[in-house]
Amino acid sequence: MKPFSIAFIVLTLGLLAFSTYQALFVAPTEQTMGEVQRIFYYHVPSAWVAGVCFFVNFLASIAYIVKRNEKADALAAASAEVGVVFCTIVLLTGPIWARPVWGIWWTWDARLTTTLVLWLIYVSYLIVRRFAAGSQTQILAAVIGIFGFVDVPIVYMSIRWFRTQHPSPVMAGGENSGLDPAMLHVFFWNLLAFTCVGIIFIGLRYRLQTMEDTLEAEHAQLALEGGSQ
Amino acid sequence: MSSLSLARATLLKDLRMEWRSKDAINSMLFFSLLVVVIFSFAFNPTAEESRLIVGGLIWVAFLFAAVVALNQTWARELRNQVLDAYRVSPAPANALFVAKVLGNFLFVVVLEALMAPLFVVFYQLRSVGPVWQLVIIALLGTWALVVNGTFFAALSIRTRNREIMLPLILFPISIPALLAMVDSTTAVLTGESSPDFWMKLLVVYDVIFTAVCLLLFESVLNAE
Amino acid sequence: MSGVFALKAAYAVTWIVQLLYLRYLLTRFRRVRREINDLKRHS
Repeated sequence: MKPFSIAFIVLTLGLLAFSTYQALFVAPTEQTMGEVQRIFYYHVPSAWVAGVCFFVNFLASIAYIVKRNEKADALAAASAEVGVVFCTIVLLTGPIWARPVWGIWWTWDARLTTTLVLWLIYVSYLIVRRFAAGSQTQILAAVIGIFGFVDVPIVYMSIRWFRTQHPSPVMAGGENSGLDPAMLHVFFWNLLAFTCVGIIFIGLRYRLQTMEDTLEAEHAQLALEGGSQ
Repeated sequence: MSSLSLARATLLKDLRMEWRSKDAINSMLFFSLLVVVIFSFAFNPTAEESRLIVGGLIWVAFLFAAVVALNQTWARELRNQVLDAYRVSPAPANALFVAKVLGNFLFVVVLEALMAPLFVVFYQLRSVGPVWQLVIIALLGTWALVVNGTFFAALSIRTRNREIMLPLILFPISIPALLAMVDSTTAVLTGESSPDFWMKLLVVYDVIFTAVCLLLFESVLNAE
Repeated sequence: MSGVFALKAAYAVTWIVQLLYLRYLLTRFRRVRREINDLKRHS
């Protein structure tokens, strides 16, 4: 592995350690929720990284449809998977946070439901990539990536409206409802750390994808040569 | 052949074939009957309660009808290698796509028209709001399902687990439209709120995704 | 579930998911490298 990559990984680990320390010990304790509010420093950055990953997938999917560039497809595969990983973290940490604070594990409010739908869309993307056989798979996946991303604002709007019609507990946690500057400071450190972790994961997954694609091409080539003998 | 006549020819051919083989219609009617009966075990279908719940039930039934129709039409095309013939023809791919969507749309709407009376009869359904709104919602909602469904059905046609893939991909993406369909139907049936926003959302959804489908269809048909 | 317990649980879950994913990636890397080496040996 290149020395730059190794340096970046080491830097990220240090950054993550630093930001976690800040989140747990330096950031001021929130008045109403208490210590549990510190989950915010992991929960929201994860959501941010997931969103960025899905946006990258959107762009890579378009690039693939337009140019049929294999690298674009590899990036699409990588970003979708990493996005799902972080989205899973959001969906797990959210309820863990909600339970002691609001007494419920889940509520169908706009943000949570949109996150769940987002998760469903990109999990379906991953399932198609894994289990669909045939040359159409990459195109099909790219299409899902495009449709899925275009859908997200519509999903959010529709559930927002649903919630004005049928009000229910809103989990205010995470909305930038006036963050204390000291908290904002810690938040940005964690945002940076998580973004770097995301970049590393995407880089690794991208490399894995290109290696596997090359391997597959080699196999196909061999089969071709073997057949012609 | 001009795109208009190609589209019309395809549409008429599809409709004729569906009319001749009544398998789908029969099985979907039976499925609806089952849904109606089984769900009646879960609640007491008095008129007031029905109005609250039927919105969701009826769209579950319509959703499955749509998936059955979608899987079927493309499967037939694949069997007869019709897709390849379309690819070599000089006619634009979008004409083919529009014809397919219209064919599926008409087919599913007919299914819905046949299934709706079952719900009315068994759940003593009487709408508080105007029925013409329900018809518009049904048309808009069906289009939303069918336009995306036809697109994905065309793509997943050669993938291994085709029948599972289609609903797997279609449902998550259709969630906002489904929410709009169910809530607007309930709004009209109960008369307790206005379906306006939902109907506008359906129109927006239909316009956006029809446009996206038309933009992408040409590129993806020529994939192989 | 107390607040502090939830905090620890949430942080732990985050690390666990990331580590599991990392392990999954490394396993796949190992497999690909092995197959590439096999291919090189046989050709």
